[in-house]
Amino acid sequence: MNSTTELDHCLKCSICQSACPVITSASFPGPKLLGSDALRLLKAGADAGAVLPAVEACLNCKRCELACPHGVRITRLISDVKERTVTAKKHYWRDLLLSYPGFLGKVGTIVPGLVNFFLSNKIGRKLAKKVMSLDADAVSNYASRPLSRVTSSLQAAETNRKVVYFAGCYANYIEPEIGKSLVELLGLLKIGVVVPTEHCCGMPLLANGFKAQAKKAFQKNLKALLPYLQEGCDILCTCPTCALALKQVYLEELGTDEAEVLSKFVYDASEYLVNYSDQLAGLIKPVKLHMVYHQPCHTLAQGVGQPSLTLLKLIPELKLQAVDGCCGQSGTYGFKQEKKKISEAVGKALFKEIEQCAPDLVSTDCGACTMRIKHDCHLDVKHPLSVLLQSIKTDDSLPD
Amino acid sequence: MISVTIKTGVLVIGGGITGAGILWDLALRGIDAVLIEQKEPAYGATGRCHGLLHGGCRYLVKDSAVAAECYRENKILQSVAKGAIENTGGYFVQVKGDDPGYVEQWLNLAGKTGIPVKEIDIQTAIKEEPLLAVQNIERVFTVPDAAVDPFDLTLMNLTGATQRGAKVFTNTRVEELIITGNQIRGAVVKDLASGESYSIHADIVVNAAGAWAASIAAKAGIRLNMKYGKGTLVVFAQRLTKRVINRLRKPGDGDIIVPAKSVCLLGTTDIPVSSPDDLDPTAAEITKMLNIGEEMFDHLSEKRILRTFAGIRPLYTGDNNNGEQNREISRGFAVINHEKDAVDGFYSIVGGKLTTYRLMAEQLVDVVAEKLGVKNPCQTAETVLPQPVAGQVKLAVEEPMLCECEQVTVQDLERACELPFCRDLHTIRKITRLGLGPCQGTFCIWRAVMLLYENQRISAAECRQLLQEFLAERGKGSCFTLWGDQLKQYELARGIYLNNFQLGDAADEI
Repeated sequence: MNSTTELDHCLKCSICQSACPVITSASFPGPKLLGSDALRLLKAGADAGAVLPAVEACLNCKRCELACPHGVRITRLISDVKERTVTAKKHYWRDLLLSYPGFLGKVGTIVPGLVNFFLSNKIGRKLAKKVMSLDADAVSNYASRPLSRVTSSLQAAETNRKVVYFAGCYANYIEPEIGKSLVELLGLLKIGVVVPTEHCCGMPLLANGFKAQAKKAFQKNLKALLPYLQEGCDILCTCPTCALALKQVYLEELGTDEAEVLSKFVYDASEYLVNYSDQLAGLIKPVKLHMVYHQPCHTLAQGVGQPSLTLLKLIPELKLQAVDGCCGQSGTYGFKQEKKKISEAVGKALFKEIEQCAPDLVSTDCGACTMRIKHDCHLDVKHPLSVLLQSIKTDDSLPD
Repeated sequence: MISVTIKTGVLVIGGGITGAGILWDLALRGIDAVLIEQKEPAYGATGRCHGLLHGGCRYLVKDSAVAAECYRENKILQSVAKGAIENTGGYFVQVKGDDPGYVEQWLNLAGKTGIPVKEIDIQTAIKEEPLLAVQNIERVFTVPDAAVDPFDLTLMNLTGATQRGAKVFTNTRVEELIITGNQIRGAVVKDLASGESYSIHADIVVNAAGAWAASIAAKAGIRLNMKYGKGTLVVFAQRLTKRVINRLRKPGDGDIIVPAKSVCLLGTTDIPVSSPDDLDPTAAEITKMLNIGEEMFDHLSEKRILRTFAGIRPLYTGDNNNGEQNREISRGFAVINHEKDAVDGFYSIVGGKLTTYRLMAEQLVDVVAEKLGVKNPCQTAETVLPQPVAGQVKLAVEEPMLCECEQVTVQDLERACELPFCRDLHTIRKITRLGLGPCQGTFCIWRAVMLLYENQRISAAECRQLLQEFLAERGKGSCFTLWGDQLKQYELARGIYLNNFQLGDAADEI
């Protein structure tokens, strides 16, 4: 369905408006206005400048799409609006830079000491604020070695089948532990893993309005993954946004046969591992901890239920509570100084809910959520797969 | 009982673009004038046309004099009526199977007439207008067509005239013409809202009633030979093309698509009818047009259609009626001085088209001014019309909103209400575009009606009446194109209006 047809499909019922977390937190016109209404009027020559600050305030959380009773891909329409307004951006260069986390990650992991020092240091943060309108308080440190340099040694010797792990920038450059956990878990299940040299999934580009560049990134990844698809490999993601991109967004934006094939072989890592629940249950040991699981918006948007929660429930004696809501971070959105207020307002209800649970630990699938919750709730946050692996490896409690 | 008497120099009958243009011309020449309109401004053919500001190319082969006239007027209006015009440019497209001989003749006449026509390669055209059916296109030419909003244009003329002292009475119908001896003296009119009759005394009466011109002339015992051609148009929910796109062949049904602000219009048919009030589109016309449209545009019939409407082309056949088909009758116009029919001071203006309305008004007012002994020359070709007060394509996301589809703000509604001739919801909608978008008033009409009530512009009983009228009118417009998304939209609207506002009675009408 192209965006012209998509636009026709909206019945203006406004149910999406009631599902939007930004509307209730800030002065924001909402997904209906920024999607089908704005795109229709921009096509008729309306001034794009009038809608720019509003459309930039969209979190791209996709909760509107889940709410739509008529199946309209609202965020796709919004991304078209963003594309039409991108040249008028006030922070064009900062947003373009933030849209290349792969590039930032490479720099960050080559010279992690320097970058981490810069960002953990008051003067460095002030400078980032002044020069880039960046609020780096919640940014996590870059890893000392990116995932791609550590996984090769972790391949299981005897394998029944092979899968591809699309790690994404967060697991690659900031928290390689997630990737290592997945590779080890798969190894226990005798599933071999390939971690291809990869590029950013391209979603940050799309979310920031750089659609042409985003499509290039999509094509690049598609080309890199195609040989594995021809071998019949499944593709696993630990990052919910990467998974959503490969499953859904590539196809929406590119509309090619290759993108359609790809969409059918991509799994959220937990979604994939749920099939091996019985085997995993036999390996897992009890963990006496109180943990809160937060489902990220982009896992919700994949429409696969709550597979991570299902896996975590395998751990005996783990006191598990689930919370619902958007954390407001949305990739790099929460780092943009002018968005900080909205981001905080959106996350407030969620953080309050987490704090009221008073857990020992929080678990969530998404890197951006992890950074935000760590910073705002002052709690340790782990990926569900890391938790799962530790419950297998240790007798005692987490964290070690 | 005839209670009030208004005295004026010229009484103009008809609030379409012709009447409005005449009123503006009279006002600029300093001639005291009053205009009456039976319904709301642009109710008749004006508000029911394509909104195509012709570059003239469509008429080249049939009548190159009319074509040249259109081209000249087009250029004038682009400078004086900017607020109503979008200079979209246009394409003429030759589709496989269209007569190449016609194309050659057309090109030749374009050269002779001096209308700038340029051939472009098909790839460029497709890139610009992806809706074009690439497999069917033979040749594409650019032409100086533009899109004009007929509501805006009419309202701008009326606003300009009233600012200069002219008066406009809408919802006011002519009961009888007052004639003493051979001299016209004015008319007895009836305010349809209050039911009150009164007389307007005038030295000159101008019959610019368009499709109803014959019935006005008949009130003076004069016969005007008119033919009526019904033309049906289809409104798509969004703008499918950037420019006006015409089929390059002998003018026929369904061969033009015109962007109109946020929507676009496909048209039209031409079916002879006997009365100007015979305004219902038929399902057969719509199917036929969509089928023809598909020859030029890819998957056109799958696009969401908001509504259809029909208008009447009032064509003047002159004194001899030799049985020509309607499209064959000249689209030129005639100024008739009824002195020849023994009624002095009574003039009719008939025929013509939207693009040449200014020239029509100029020629009529020249005659009227001479009769009145006024020497001031016509100024409408140089004087810029006032901008419309609302209704422009915009995004106003920060303001309190009534209609989200067309971004009509509370302020837009209030500004429209302040206009002297704005007396009903129809006029408000024409000024602001309230309810003209994809949801077709599902969410905005009740909001607007309640705001009007809150601001004490209407009573509670009128609220209900307005909502019922609106629903009835919407039902009429959409009943032939209810499928797919628009059908669901319609059901949502019915749910809201019939359940929440308990307008069950209105449901019988839709």
